[in-house]
Amino acid sequence: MKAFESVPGRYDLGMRLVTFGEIVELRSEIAAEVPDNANVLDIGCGTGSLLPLLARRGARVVAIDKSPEMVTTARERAAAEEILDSVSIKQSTAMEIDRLFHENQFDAVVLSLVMSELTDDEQTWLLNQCARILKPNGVLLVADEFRPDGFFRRVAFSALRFPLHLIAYLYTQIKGLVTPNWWWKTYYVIVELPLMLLSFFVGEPLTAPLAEPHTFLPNTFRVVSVKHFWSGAIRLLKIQKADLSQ
Amino acid sequence: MIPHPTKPRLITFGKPTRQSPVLVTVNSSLTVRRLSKVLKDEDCYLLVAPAGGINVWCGSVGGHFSIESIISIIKTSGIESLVNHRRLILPQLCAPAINSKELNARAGWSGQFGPIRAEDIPEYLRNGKRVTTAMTEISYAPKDRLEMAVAMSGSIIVRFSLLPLIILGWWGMTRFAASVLCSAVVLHLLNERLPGSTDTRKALLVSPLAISLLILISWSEYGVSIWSLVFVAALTMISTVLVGNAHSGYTPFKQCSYSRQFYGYPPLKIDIVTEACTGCTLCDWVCPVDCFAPIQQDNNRTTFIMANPVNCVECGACLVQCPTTAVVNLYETPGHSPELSCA
Repeated sequence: MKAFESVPGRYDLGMRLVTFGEIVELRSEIAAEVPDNANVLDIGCGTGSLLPLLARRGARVVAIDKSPEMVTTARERAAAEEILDSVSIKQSTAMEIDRLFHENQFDAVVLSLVMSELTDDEQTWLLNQCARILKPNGVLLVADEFRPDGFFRRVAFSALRFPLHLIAYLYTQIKGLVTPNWWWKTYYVIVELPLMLLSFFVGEPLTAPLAEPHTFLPNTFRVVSVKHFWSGAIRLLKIQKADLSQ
Repeated sequence: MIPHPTKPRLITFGKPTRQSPVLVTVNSSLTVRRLSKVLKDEDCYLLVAPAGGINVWCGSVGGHFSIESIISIIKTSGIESLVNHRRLILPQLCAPAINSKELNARAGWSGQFGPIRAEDIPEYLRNGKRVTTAMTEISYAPKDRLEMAVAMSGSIIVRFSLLPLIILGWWGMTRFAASVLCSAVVLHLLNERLPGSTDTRKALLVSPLAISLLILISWSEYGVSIWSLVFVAALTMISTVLVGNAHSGYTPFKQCSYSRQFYGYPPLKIDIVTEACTGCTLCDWVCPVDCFAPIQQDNNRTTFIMANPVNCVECGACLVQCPTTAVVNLYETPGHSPELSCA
């Protein structure tokens, strides 16, 4: 979620808000789907909350995130959980993995709430790169917002999602206010709040939920299983790379 | 700054060859539209990088337009298969965010700064990609001033006219809008000539003019009552304070006053360490407001000094670009006190 990345301290709370509180269960489901003792790449690790769960399953994890503050937070968490031996955290964007990793390097790649932040072209590029760096029969785990099936579900979902995102957005933005001066604080609420509302509606700080998976997956991938949360608004896709040698 | 994004993409102009120049810009819809108008007769590629729909200068100082944006558009546009060279032409005002050396290391492309204004690009391309001094300095012509005044009044009227509409009705809203527009135009056109230390004071100076104009309008319609005078005066005072506070963010010569007050944007006080300076001219080139000047050292070496600190808009372009870290921020340098080194 783009709007939260500037404020790491509020990131976890914001994430819980926009995933309707399902993020905790989502994480343990992701960790359960990863094979034992695997080489795992976690793209967009955020504050690193998935890392202890993966390390407990014996995985050797490479985690990347584009924000330096997030990388620092994730390193602190890894140090506190004493999993630094099995985890390495790098600062990098998802769009640089073609230079960082070689072919057939990972047993599993995790894309947790990353895809919906990217443009359509970036999604296509990233999935093709995932197909390259995964071993044959490797697993790609995509946990993200999806457009629910059916008209009424979609309407209900938007009606719930929109105010939640607005609250989360305004909350994190107001936290960016640093001045202790009460006059500036008042002025900020009068002047900046309407501006932030305007930019929320015009500037697309919202992430776009994904369409049906078959519309964006490259043909080397095959969806193995789908877990639904909130009647399909949030889904966890387990995707397998085909073994072309067979 | 209200973002207005358009789709990040590759735009082709004319019939480009494998040697044609590749320009980069941000996905602000206004920026892309203006560039398309200017480039329609050229043969070149334009990469529209994802930067949240914010313009080049604000986007690069505020962290929306960065090397990551350029990496993304290079990978997704497939430009590497369309041209033989690996040289990008960057807008000069992206210098606060994009360091050519880092771009080369992370993306494999080299970057070269083009002119500031889009209108200069055709001339720049015809002259063998050489910028003139005029192309590297910010200008703020009366036409631009009027445009910014109208843009600013639009933004203020959209945000704040609801309140006078509720309290005073249609009458109050139109008076408020007229007062905002009037004071914004006067303040933008005459800003340097008005006395007063801050923009808000200058705006308050303008307000009697706006008040008398509005009273004249009301008079011809309804006659004058004491209450209408009071309301007009109050509305005008409020609108001029709003206009005055917002003004600096709309000019290229001052930093937006909100960035520091609200978001703790770090203050910069730029100076150059003469011993470290190699005289590469990069700081002078990227500075949009002409802060730096060359001086001849006794051992036949040219170095640069901070010649016009009052011009500085604290964009940080020189800090990011200097290859030898000779450009320093005195607020962050231990042992330097900004008050002392001013002389």
